[in-house]
Amino acid sequence: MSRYGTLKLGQENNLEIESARLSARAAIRQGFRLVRRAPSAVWVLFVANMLLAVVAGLPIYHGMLQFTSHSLMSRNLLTGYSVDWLADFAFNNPGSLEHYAQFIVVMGLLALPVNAILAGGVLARFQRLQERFRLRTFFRDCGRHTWRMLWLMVMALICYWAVFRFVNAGLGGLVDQTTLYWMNDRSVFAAHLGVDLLVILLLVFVNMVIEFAQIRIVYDGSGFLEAFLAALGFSIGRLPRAIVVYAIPSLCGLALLGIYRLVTPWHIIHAALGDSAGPSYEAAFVLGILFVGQQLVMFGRYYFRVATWASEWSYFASTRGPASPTETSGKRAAA
Amino acid sequence: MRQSWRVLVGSLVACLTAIASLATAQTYQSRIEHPIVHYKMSASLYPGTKTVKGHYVLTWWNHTDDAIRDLYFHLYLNAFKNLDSTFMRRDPIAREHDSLTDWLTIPGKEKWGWEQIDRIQIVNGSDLTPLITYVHPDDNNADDRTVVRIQLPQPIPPKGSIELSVDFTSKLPRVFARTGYDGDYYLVSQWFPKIGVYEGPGERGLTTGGWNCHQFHRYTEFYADYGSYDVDLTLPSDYIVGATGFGRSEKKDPDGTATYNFYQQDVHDFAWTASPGFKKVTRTFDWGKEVRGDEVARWSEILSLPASEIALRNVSVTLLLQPYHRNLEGRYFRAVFNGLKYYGLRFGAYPYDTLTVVDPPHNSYTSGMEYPTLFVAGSTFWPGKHEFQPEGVTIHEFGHQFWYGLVGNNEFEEPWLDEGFVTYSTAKVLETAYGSPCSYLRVMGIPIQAYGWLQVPLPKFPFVGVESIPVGPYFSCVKLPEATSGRSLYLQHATDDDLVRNGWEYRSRLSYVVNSYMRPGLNLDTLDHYLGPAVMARVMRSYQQEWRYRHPTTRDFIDVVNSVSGRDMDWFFQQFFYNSNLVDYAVASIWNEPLYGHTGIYDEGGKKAYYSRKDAVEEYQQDRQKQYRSTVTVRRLGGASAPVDIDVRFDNGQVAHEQWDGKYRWTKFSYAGQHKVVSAVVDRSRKLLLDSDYTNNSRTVKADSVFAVKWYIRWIFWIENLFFAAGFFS
Repeated sequence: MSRYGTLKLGQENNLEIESARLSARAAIRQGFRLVRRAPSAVWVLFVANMLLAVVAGLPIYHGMLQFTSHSLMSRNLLTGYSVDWLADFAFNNPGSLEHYAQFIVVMGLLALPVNAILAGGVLARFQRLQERFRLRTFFRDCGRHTWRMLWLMVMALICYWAVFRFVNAGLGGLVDQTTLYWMNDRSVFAAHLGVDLLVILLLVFVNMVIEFAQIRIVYDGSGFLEAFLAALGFSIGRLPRAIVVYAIPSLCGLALLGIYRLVTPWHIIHAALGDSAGPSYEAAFVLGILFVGQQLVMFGRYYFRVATWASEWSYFASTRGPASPTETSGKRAAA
Repeated sequence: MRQSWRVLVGSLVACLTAIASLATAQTYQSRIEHPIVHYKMSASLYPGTKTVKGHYVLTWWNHTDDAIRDLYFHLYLNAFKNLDSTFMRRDPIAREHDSLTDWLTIPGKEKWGWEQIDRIQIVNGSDLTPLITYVHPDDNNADDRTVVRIQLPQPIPPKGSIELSVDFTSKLPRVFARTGYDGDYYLVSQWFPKIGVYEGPGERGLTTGGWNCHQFHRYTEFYADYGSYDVDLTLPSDYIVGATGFGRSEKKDPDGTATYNFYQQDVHDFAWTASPGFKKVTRTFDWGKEVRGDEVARWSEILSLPASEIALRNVSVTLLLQPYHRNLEGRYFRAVFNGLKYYGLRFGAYPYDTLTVVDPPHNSYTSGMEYPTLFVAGSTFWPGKHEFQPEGVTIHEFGHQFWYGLVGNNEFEEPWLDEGFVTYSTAKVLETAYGSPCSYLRVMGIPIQAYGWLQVPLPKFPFVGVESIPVGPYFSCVKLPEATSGRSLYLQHATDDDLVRNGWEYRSRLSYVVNSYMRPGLNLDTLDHYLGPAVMARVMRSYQQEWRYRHPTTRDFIDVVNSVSGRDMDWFFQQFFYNSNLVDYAVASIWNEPLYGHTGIYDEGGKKAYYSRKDAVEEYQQDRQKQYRSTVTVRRLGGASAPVDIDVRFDNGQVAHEQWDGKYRWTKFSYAGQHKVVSAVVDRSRKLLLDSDYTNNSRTVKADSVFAVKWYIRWIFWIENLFFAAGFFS
């Protein structure tokens, strides 16, 4: 029971707020409850991004295979990493690495609108918890909010660009110039670190504002500009609590990546792959386990991402009262 | 009784003091029979104007049989006088120099540097000042003022000498390349009018004598004759000073300055540094403690020398440290001691009594520079444990005490002879003392260093300045073999230039770097593989000992290689030093075909016997002991050639070892028998470190895709994370 009351998931499609604002802790707790009831939203995000990644990585896979599959160097790559191979590949396939990087960037750029559009469906799912998940409904919700989400994405990109341009490049450049002839590298480091931390904080703030704006678009059908400005006011007005609600689930996802990085037993994997001479059931099994393990981590990361939205949704809802009917927001959007 | 006790204590203290002073006394004895130069100099630093005013008497001996009618001097600091000097000229090479771009933005005239001879005259003789003319032997740049010629009224006779009295003024530049000041930190090198090198007929392959005195170019270094320097330096008394040679005296002057005397024989340059901010620490390299008996025995055996010749010397090492780098004191000393030990064991003892190591301030653009008995290292304040910082640069610059300091090659004309040797030797010392360096930071599983080598543009922001945080120990280490660490950069510039070339005539700065450092390092390691480590160790030691205090050329080194190894290795140098061909050997194909019986028409007993193809195939299929003909084709894809070995592996595990002179474009190896070839490797022991494609050095009959699947899985994961981050921005 929170100090401020509880948020009930009513029999209706929409959420009902029983009393005043939730505490950050209660909002996060409610958020995790929400996401437990909407796992399908996580699945959609996860699968969509995985497919994009699979496509993005294909040229590299083919490049590696073509260049190395008949070489004993493949054994080195199976059980570790070879700096020599990378030098060989880069020199003997001029432009290939740049091409792969460009392709990944293109797919990454595609991932931006895809994720923006899917956000509409995911957030709308919080309004339809009593309904059975249907892809058709999910994508209909995505479609309903598509243009406002895309405009919001453009607005977000402008904000991110501004942070990079004015704080990172501008202020960072100023610090570069100022510290150029400082003789104590500890002080230079501290000055740069200060700018970098400021950049990170501002990026986080923009991200938080955009997420509250996405929620507002779905929650009460606001236009993107109205939602953005309102979310900005909302975030500034309730900064400490909004940050906590945003940061805790987000950091859980990041922590998951850190744990993966620390605990993945590469030496065991490499030893097992090294023992299996060429294609074998054992190699397939090891690689299968690796793939599943990695995808579990990714699923976890998307789970926490949706949990972040859900926590923000709960917190936002607790300040607003019942959401407007979905149909209404749809009509507004159409208008 | 009381009195005698005092006498006893007094005598004891006097004895101890005498012993202590003996321990730090100069013990170096000159090894040079006929030194060419002797500078008796006094100089004063004026921090307010960043100026050094000095006077010296130079005694110069003509060691040749030529009568010498003129003298040449370097005025290196005039490189910083204006943008029209050869050093500063805005050519494509200059534009690669980031520190110059930053430097040019500094307002005011104080940053510029120059040097002038105020007066030069023959001692007890005529004034030569009016006879000074600027010359520019390398590029006809009439605006360059870094070399002067002085016509002598009387020639210096063969084996004669001349004594010159010189007054000079040197305005130090704000440092951006090797020399100058940064705040109250001074690194004063190439700072006085320095006589060029007169080379007689027969020296360094010359047929006629002449002055070797090149202009100061952006990336070339230096060349000078051996001799002795006796220098008095006067500067504010709160400055801490380090200099070439042995500090003989120090006295406080009434005007708030102090005068230090430094002296060193058998060196070809004199540099010094001063700053009130230095933390000065001195320790002794005690070779008896640092080197074990079994190490001496081992090197005695490798080099076929008596143990007495492996003996090293104690050296007084002074570290001039930035106070905010105090955490690095131990690492610096350990690195220097490792250098003294392992260089000494390999190439002969470091002969001088002192060694001064300078830890420069951040961004002073003086790090990584060497002078006799003094060098500048450098590090960030927080290096990772296995990142070879400050060890790498310390051992590299220490290595120059041997290659360039003791063996004085012409760095203008053959920069590889010191940089390449130091690259090779440093890799050996680092590998012995520390093992391979680690790379921890990775992007998508690839070490960032490797990523950097590929020059794939990574956005530098948002974490400019923080990239050197040593988070490595929290992650696993990717070993980067020191010997081949320069291979990637070499490949990018492999065909730009021949290796042996004037330093200022390489196509670009990176070509200079590659052909002076990486490529000769790889070549010497390759030579090591062809000769064997023990023979190579003897070659290097002989070359070092034979050419100490002299000026060798590439040809001289080749002669030592041939003589010590007892083999004619001219082909090796022709292939890898005097041209820019790539080397690339590949197993092009493996072909296994069934050996069917007779097929077609054969003469048997005066008749034409016919065997059908169908019968031959059927017979073959019924045969339990099938026969195969296997053919392995090996190709030379690059322009360079070298003998290579080839290993051919059969499906029963047997391996056939083959040799090929590697000269023609391809060769084939055929085998007939019951076993098929499954794989082949050319240059299995990887002698040829310059091979531009190790991956095609081997070939298997069966393709393997498991490795690619593993990496594909990894890449998918990291791309997903990348897109997850993209989701953050959407």
